[in-house]
Amino acid sequence: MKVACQTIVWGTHLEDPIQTIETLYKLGYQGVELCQPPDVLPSASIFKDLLAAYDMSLVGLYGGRLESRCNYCGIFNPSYLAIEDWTEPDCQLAQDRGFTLALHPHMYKPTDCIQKAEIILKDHQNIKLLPDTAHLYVAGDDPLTVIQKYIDKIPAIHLKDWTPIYGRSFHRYAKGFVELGTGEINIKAVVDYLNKVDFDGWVVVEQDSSSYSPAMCVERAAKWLSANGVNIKPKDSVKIYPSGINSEIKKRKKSPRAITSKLIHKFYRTKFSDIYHFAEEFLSSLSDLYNCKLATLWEFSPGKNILGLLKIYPEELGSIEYPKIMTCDGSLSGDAIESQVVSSFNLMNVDIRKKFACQELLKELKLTKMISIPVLNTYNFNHVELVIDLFPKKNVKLPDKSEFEYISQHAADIYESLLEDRCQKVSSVINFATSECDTKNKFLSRILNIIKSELNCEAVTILLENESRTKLQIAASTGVRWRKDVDKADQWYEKGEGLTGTVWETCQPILTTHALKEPRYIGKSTDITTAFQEVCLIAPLRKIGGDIIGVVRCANKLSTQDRKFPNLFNENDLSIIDAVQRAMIPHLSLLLTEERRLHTLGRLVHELKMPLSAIRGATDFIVKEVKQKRWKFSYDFPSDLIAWHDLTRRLLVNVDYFRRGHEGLDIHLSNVLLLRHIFAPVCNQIRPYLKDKDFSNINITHDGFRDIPRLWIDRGQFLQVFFNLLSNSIKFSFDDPESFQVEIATKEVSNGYEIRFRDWGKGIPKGSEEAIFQEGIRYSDEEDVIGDGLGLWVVDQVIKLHGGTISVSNNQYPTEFLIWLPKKLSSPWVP
Amino acid sequence: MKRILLIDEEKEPMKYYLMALKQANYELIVTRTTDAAIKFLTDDNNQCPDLCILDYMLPPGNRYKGNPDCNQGMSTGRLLYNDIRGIYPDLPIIILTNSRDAFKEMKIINPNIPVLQKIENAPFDLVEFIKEVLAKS
Repeated sequence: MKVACQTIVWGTHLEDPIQTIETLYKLGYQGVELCQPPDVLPSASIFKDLLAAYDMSLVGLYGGRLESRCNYCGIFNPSYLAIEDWTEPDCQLAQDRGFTLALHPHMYKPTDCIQKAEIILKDHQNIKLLPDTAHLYVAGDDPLTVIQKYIDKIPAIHLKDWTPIYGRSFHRYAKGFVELGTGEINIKAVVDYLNKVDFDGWVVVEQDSSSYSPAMCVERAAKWLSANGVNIKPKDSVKIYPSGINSEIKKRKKSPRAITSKLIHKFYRTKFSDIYHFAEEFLSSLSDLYNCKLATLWEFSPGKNILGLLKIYPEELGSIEYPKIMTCDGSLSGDAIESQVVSSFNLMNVDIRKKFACQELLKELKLTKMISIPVLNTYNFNHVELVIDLFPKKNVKLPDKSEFEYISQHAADIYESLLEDRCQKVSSVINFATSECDTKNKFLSRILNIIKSELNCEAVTILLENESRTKLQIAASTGVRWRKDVDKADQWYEKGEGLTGTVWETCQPILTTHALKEPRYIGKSTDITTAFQEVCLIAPLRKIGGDIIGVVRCANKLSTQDRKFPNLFNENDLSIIDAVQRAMIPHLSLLLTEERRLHTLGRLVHELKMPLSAIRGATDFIVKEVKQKRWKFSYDFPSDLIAWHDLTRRLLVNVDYFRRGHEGLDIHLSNVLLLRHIFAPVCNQIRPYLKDKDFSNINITHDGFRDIPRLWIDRGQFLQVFFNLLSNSIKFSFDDPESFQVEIATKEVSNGYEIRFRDWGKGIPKGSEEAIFQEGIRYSDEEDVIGDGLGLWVVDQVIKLHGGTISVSNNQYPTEFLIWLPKKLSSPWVP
Repeated sequence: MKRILLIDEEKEPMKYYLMALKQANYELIVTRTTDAAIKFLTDDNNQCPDLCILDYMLPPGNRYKGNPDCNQGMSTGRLLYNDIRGIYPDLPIIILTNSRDAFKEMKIINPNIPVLQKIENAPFDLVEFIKEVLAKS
């Protein structure tokens, strides 16, 4: 078995062939398979001299059209030329010229599995097989079985490991190619088999991408092979390559194709790349290729009409630093630099995110030097456009539009892929966090740290709606230096209040470089308070259905250490926030529901303890007085005990509803008079609440009960309806016996019966008319009132079970609930 | 006659405690809100009580409204306790609570704080507890 190395790990453009071959030679590789197409390689004669100088063989040639490969290899004697499909007449021509063709099953290519390869191999007996352990594995084949079956037809094997963590999709599977022995393919078994059968072909190490440098990567592969029974030994001797090769290689022309190849290899296929470094590399390549004085990359969001600077190149322009390149009238950087007359501005004083009407922007695009590329973030379908502005040196002409577009289109593809990757990564991290965080606070804390780290910013705050959706409250915060005199009430935001409240109301994000200068800014002590917190991103947190549940606020994007990138939030950051919310909201919703249920249960228990401790107190007195042989009690304790008992029972019914949930409630209908069987007993049961506030039941009046016939309803459940509504009226009244008043008016209407509960208490906040009927939801401004948030939920459930409806028909003065019951409830046939 | 300031918003359930305290010959001042309690204690015209009894779970009132430490009224007593301590550092304070968690929490903060669980102690137990606390002070 002979060991060769594929050159893909150096990228699709082999920048330094001499160093590459020297490295492989020193590590003990005996051959090389070239993946770069001939048009980016040194001439065949030079390359032959180079290989000869290091006693190495050209094992095969992979990249480029078959015809051009045949032409290039004329002076070599490669073991094979790789093909991915049988294509007439190219393949026939190659065979006629004496080359051996080896079919290489490859994911997402015409021959992607061994079953398809077998058809071609049957039809064309002269074709050999070039199996790739990883591609076969990804396609679902067993590499060892395939190699065992076709060992006689195999001139070489691509040895490659793979991990499934990136999945098998077109865009991702190649990221899963990992160093030998670190994936899940049993490469050792393949090597053992090849040793066993004394395989005399080539094993070709092919590492598509690596988190190590190419030299380190091939060194690690050599070490792994050596440790696993393959004869590969590093060489100590130094070979001197022939003079002349170096200068000839350097003559190779830079080309747009070479640039795109380099970019694609570096950013599209590797694991640890990011948008900012891509922007830097992209601009430096363009600048180099087109001899530019300055190149800038902007990101334009058509939906928001915002143009934001992503990157400027070169950094070392001296006085022309990125904060100063954008002029007030929106003219672009190059003109400003060239003329030297356009004023420059400090970032703090100029809105670098100048708003452009889309048409105006397009007018600005002189396509010989600028181009706009649409980019679709396939993760969340945000649409942005990259705008490239090149400013050439004097007397240098920029290329024509088509060449520029060729590069730009590849750049857009890479940008899309990186954006998607970034979103996917955040999503994965959050998914991992969901499995670890079982409380809201713990989970939010993790989310804050993820956002802070991903957006590279100084402070992050998450604000969530309160239960009745009337206010927005700070739920978690990190990186904020709280002032000591902070007003706790400032932790609440109303709809439309300040920048935060505006985002909550409009459901649209705000990206700003000048928070303090924004007209909508208000100076809350918990808001953005210093000049250092002006650069802000405030974005809505939405459920998948679209309902907003809160807002996330990020302040002060930090520069990287070398200040290479502008410290402005941009569309990428919004995409990250989008990905964060998509991943976090389902789990957060579950945690919020759980927390609400726990709070509800806690309040329920607390409310129950009140009558229970009263019963204990009254009983204690009875016991004491009986011991003192007082047969006539000093106070009417028994009557009190009955009232407390009734109250306890009503509260327990709510507990029972809570326990049983929406389903499983049975209705036991009886023929009921509302006044006698419902209203009168409830008036007794609420006595403790009335007495607690010094109220009198005289102020609870009714009208029209006698106009309603007997109804077939569940008496127990309707007692609960009346009790819950009346006890709410008492709880949410002003503590003033004079002003306490409740009216219950009933009447028959054409299609049923109406019952109106009116009181003149604190009322129901606008906007929470529906929310208050949900389980565990309490009125927003009610911290001073005990209650469990179940009363109206129970009322709603009971009324619905009877085919009726309940709604808030007036919020305050009076607060009015309108119950409608269907006429059929009075029918004798209902049971 | 010893003066006791009682701070509890629940009037009806507390009436048995009040009856027991009256029978035990204490002078009672009852406030139902945190604001009224602080106003009473900071008013120069009012004489300092000999003992203060406060409920752990109290409506926040204007004083603690929106304060997250108040936990929607579930922990108001802890904040009020500290504020009263700030006004009268030596005033004996008894905390009443229906919550076992609150009882434990206060005991962790300071094992010497007199805390009484209402549900497990009838009115006459409170009278005995007050006697103990006053004797120690």
